[in-house]
Amino acid sequence: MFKTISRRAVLRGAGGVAIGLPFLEAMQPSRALAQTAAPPKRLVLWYSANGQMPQYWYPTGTETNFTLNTAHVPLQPYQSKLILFDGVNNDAGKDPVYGGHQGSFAAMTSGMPFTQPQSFNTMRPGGPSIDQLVAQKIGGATRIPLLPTGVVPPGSGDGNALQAIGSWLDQTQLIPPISQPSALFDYLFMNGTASGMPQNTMAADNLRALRKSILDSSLERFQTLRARVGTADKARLDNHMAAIRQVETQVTAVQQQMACTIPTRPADNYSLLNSNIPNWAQVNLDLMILALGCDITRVVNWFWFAMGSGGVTFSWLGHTNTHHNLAHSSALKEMTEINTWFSTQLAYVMSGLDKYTDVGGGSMLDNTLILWWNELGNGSAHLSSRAPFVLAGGAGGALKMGRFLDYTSAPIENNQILLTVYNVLTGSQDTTYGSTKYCPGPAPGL
Amino acid sequence: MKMQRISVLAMSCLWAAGCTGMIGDGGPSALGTSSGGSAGGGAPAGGAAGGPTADSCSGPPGDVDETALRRLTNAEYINTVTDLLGDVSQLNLSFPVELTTEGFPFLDNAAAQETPPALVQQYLVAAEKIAADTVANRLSKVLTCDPVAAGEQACATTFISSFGAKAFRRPLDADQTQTLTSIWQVGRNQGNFNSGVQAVIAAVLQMPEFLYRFELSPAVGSQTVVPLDAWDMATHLSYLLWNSMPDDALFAAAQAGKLQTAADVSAQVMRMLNEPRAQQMVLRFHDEWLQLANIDTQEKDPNVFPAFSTAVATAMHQEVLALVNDIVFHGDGKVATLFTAPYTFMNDVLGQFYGVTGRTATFARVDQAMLGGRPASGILTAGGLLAANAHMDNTSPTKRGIFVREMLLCEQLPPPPPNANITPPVPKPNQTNREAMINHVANPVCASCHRMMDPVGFGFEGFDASGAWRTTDMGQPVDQSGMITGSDVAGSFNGPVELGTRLASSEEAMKCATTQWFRFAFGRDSGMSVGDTCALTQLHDALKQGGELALVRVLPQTATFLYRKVPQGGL
Repeated sequence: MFKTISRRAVLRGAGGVAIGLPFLEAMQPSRALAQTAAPPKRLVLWYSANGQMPQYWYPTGTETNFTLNTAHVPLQPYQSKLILFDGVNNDAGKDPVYGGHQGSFAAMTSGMPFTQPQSFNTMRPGGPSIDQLVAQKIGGATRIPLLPTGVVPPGSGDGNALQAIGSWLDQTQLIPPISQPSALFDYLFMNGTASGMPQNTMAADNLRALRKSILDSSLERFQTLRARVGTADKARLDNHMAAIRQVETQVTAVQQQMACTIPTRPADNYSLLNSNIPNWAQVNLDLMILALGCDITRVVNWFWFAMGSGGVTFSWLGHTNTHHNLAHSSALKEMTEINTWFSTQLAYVMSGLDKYTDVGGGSMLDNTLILWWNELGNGSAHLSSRAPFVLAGGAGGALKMGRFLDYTSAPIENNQILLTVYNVLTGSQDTTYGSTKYCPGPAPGL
Repeated sequence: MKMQRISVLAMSCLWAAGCTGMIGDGGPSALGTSSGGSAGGGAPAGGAAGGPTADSCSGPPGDVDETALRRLTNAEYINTVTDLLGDVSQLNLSFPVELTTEGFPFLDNAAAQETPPALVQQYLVAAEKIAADTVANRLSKVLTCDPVAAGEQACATTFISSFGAKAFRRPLDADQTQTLTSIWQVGRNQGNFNSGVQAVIAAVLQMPEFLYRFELSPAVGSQTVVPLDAWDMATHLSYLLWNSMPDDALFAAAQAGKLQTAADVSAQVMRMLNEPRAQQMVLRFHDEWLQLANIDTQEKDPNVFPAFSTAVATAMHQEVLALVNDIVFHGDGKVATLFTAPYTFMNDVLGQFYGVTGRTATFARVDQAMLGGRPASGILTAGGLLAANAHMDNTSPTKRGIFVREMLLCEQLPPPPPNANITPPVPKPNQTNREAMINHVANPVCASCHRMMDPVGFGFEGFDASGAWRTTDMGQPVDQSGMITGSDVAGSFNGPVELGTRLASSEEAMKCATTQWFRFAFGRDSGMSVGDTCALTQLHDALKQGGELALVRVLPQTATFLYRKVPQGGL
C-alpha cells in the first residue's frame, strides 16, 4: 500500500522564512493517491508548564454551545476542532506525596504514582509516557517512530537536565527533546533526505545491507563487552542497544520514497537566546509540521522549555520575570498572556496541518490528535488538580470534536482522557491506563 | 524549583579528619605489580581518625571504587575523530545536547549520559559522512599499503589491524579482527577496495570500543583490584589531560612497555602538560565547574540595563577564563587566589561596560586601583558570574548565595517544604531588593532555608543584575554586609573582598575544589573505598600546597586513576 500524502491548498510562504524556504511548498503530489485507504492517525503531545489561571482559561456555555475564554481566543478559528475540559484531576501527582512540578509531571505522563518521592530531583514516572505507548502501536510505519522535540533553552531545568525531558521509556531511560534546530533538522532529514536513502535504488539497497551488517556487528560487540561491566553500566548499554535496534529497523527498512523537498539546514550556531524563542519556535514548529506532513513521523512529543518553564522569561511579551515566578505570584495578566501565546502557537500548528490533504482526501488535521497538557492545574497554587487539558485536531472521526466537557460535578482523572486518547489512536479497547486506581475507565461522554 | 537538590554522598564521611597523604613522592612505586586482591597495605589503618594514614595511601590499594563506564562526550568524539582521521569541521555533525544533573556540572558524568535513538542515528550519519570524506580526501592518513602491490586481502588485513588498534586504543583481538574483516568484505563486494575501507571506518566509529572508554586491563585469577595495563593507561592519560585519544608517542610507549613505572607515567604526564591541549583542559574544568556557558545566554531587561549586550556577555565569559588562566599558569594556582586576586582582565568591550578606559581589543590585566572603585576579588567579582546569578531586571541574593554554597562549598541545600509558597517578593516603591528579600523570608518556613543563602548573596549587592558595580540602590547607599553560616568560615563580612578572604582560608572550599576536580577527572562522585579516600586526600594536599597544576600532576598517580575494580557482575 502506498502511504500517500499530498497538499491540497496553496500554502503560505511566510512560515519558513526563518530558515530560508517556504518549505511547505515542498509537498509534491507525485504519488498515486490511494483514495480508498483509511488515513493514518497521529498524535502530538503539546506540553506547557505552570498551569492556568482558571478565570481566563475555562469556557462558558454548554457542551456544544460554548464561548472560549481569553487564553484560547487565538484558537477560535478551530473551535469546532477542540475539546476543552473542566473537572479533571491528576491525583496520581499527589501520590505518595505532593509531587510539585516533577511528581505531577511524572504521574501525568505515565498515569501512575511517581517513584522515588524522597526528592523532587529523583521523582520518576512509574512507567512509560503515553507517547511511547502510542508509538509502539502506530509509530513503526514511519522512519522515526517518535519525535521528541520542542524548545528547550540552554540551562532549562535550572542545571538539572532531567527537568527538561518530556518522554520516558521507563524510569531509567529518558528521551530528551531535540530542540537545537540543526540537530532537529539532521534527525528528520538524514543525509539530507526524508527517507535517509540515496535516490539510486541499487545504492540504496547496498547502503541498507551495509548498515545492517555494521549495526548487527556493533550489537554483537556490545553484547560481548556488556559482560565485562557492572550492573548500572549494563543497564546503560542495554538502553544504547535498544536504541540501535530501533534505528536499525528504521534505516534498513525499505521506505516509500517521499517527494518531500528539504528546507535549508538551520545554522549550527542558531541563536538559542531567550529573546529569540519566538523565531526558534517558528523554525522547530515548521520542521515538526513538515515531519508529520512528509510522514517521517506520526507521533510527536512537543515540549515547551522545562518543567515549570525553567528560567524562561516571556520577554517578547514585555515580561521581566520568569514564567515560573509569575505563576507563583498569581500574575493574572501575564499568565494569561503566556497561555494566549501558547494558544497562538497551537493555532499555527493546526493551520499548518490543515493545509495537508491526507489519505482519503480529508485534512491531515482531522487525523492528528493534539493533546495540550500541563503538569499543574491552578498555576498560582501549584496544584495538580483541575488539570487544564485540551484536545485539538481530530482522531479520524473517532472523537466528536467541538465540545466543552465539564466534569466539575463528578470530577474525573486525567488518565481517563489518556485512556480514550490511547484507544482511539491505536484501535485498542483497553479498559484502564496507567494505574487502575486512577483510571476507572474511559472519560464518560468523551 | 531552584532549591531542589540531588542528594550526593555525604562528604563528611569522606573527609574524616587525620588524612595526610603522600604528595609528590611519585605515587605507587611499581605500577605493574598486581595487588592480588589482598588488603595489602591499603586497608584503613583504623586509627583514631578513622581515615587512611600516610602509610595506607602508599603501595597498591586494598580497594578502589568501581569506575563508571563513560561514553565519549560530544567534544571528545569530535576531538577523537579529528585526531584519528583529520579535520571533520566541514561535515555538519550535530549532536543532541548533553545532560548534566544539578550539583554535578561536568559533561562526562557517566550516570547522566543517555543514548536515545536520535543520538544513535547521529552516530550512524556521522560515521558514514566521516568515512566517505576520509576515503575521498585523506585516504593516505589511514591506509599505508598499496592494495595492488600488496594484494587486496593483505592490504585490508594491514589496514584493519593498524587502524582498528588506533580507533579502539588497544590491539585488536581475534574476534574484533574477524568482525571488521567481514565488514570490509561486505563493502568490497559492493564496489572496490576503497569501498571496503570506507565500510570499516564507518563501522569502527559505531562500535562500543570506540564510543565508550572500557577498561579492559585483564584481571589475574581472583584479583578484584587490577592495575591498569599500558593501553588503558594511555587512554586514561590522553582523555584526562587532552580530552582526546592517545597520540603516536603514547601508543608507542604503551607498545614498548614504557608505561609501567611511576617514572614512565610521570614523564608522559610532563610531556603532555606542556601541550596547549592540557591548558585547554584546565580552562575547561573551570568553565564547567563555574557553569560559565550560562553567561553566554544572559539577557537583561534593556530598559534597566541598556548597556548590556551579547558582546558584553561573551567578553564576561572570557574575563573569567583569562583570570583563571593567569592564576593557574602564571600565578600560584591556589584556590585561595581564585577567591582573592586583586585584579581582573578586560578588553575594550568590557572596559566600556565597566567604565574602565584605555582598553584594547586584547584582554589584558587591570589591577584593583584602576577599576574606579569596583572591587576585585578573583572570580567572586567577575561580572559574568554575578550577571548569570541574577534576574533579568534585578539582583538575586538567593541565586548568588546558592552559587557560593553549591559550587564553591559543595553543599547540598534542602528542598523547600511541600506546598511552600515560594512567591518572590514584590519590592515596594523605593525599597531595595535586599529589604524586599528580608521581608519576604521573614516567614519562618522560608527563613529556614533562605538564611543559608540570602545573607551570603547580600554581600554582592554592590553589583547590579548586569554585573556592573553600583554604590547606590533605589537612592540609598548599597548595603553589602553579608553573613555566612554553617561553614568553617562562618561569620559576618562586608562585601565580596571580605567574603573572598574568608573563603580563601576555608578548608571546606578547598575540599570542594578537590571534589570538583575528582568529578571532572573520573566522571563520578567519589566513593567510600580506601583508594578513593586516599585519592581525595592526596589531591587535596597537592591543591593546598602546590595549587591546581600540582593537583593535575597528582591525578594520574592516584589509586583511583591507576587501578580498576572488577565490577559486581562483570569481569
